Amino acid sequence: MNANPFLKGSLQTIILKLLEDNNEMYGYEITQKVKEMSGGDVLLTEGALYPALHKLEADGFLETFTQVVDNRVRKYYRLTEEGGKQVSSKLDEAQAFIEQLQTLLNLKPIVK
Amino acid sequence: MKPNDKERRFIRTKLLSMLCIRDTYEELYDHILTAVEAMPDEIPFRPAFHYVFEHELGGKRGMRALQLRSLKMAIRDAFKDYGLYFIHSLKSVYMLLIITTTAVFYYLVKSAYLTPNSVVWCDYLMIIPTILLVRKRNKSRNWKIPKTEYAMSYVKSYAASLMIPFPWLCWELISSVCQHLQTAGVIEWLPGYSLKTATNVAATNIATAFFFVTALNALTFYKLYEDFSKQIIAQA
Repeated sequence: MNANPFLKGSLQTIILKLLEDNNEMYGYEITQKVKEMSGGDVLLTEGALYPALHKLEADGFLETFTQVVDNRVRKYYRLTEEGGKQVSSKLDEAQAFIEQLQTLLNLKPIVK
Repeated sequence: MKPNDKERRFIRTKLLSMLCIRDTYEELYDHILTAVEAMPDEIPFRPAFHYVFEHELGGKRGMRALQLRSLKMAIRDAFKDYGLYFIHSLKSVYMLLIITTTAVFYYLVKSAYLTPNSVVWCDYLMIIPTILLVRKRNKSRNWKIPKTEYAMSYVKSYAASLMIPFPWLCWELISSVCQHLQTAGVIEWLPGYSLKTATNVAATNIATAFFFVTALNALTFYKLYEDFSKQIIAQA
């Protein structure tokens, strides 16, 4: 992941949201999706991604299953029921944080 | 580009020289292979692999750090599972059997029918069913990775199996410390020494408490592995 500390702190939220939208994904797919959505600005490295995925799994927000693809084991992640509930609360937190930053730093929302 | 068999073997060998946990190995192997496959055909295999390995995985150090984090998390999980099943065991109907056996054990120790050696053997006997269960489960699922390819099997069961000898190790430690202090003349009635004659009240109580905890530990492991095996069979 790039060195932006704001993004590092939001990695779990990003993963949860992606899995909510895409149902089930594997590690590489997540990195590519983030890269594609950010226009190549945000690059997730495995060193950041997998610990976050494993943490979410250990916390019971994600569950995994494996499939054999082209003679290799592929591990997929998907949201648990608990994880599904967590997505909206994490998004609310992110929204509140962004609003606070806008207020504190006097930032104007970007209009595209 | 699509790596050929030789190139795939190269990736496997490289990973196996650094990783020993199957979960981490399989996840990273798939990741590297997918990333290399996604690269344009014009890029040769070695530079493609090098790029993924160094830039995305953080090289050797990054991979080892990742593995260590996985191991820590698995050990934490194993302890968490153990705790949950321990509480579950306390509510089990088998508790009646354990309490009754403990009462009989207490009587036997108090009446000096049991020698210190037989106390230790009783504890060993309770650990045996757990070990047999672990072995049976490992055989049935073929989790054991051949030594030529991998160094360690399924990480969670490895972490859980670390807990099997805990009661015995604790007993050995307490006993050794007590005997040492007794020999040094620090305290007279310490249990490690007194258990040898099984006449001291404290020694009898401690031996009984230890018997109870060991039995509860065996029950916890039994339930843990019984459920764990069922889950795995269901997934398969």
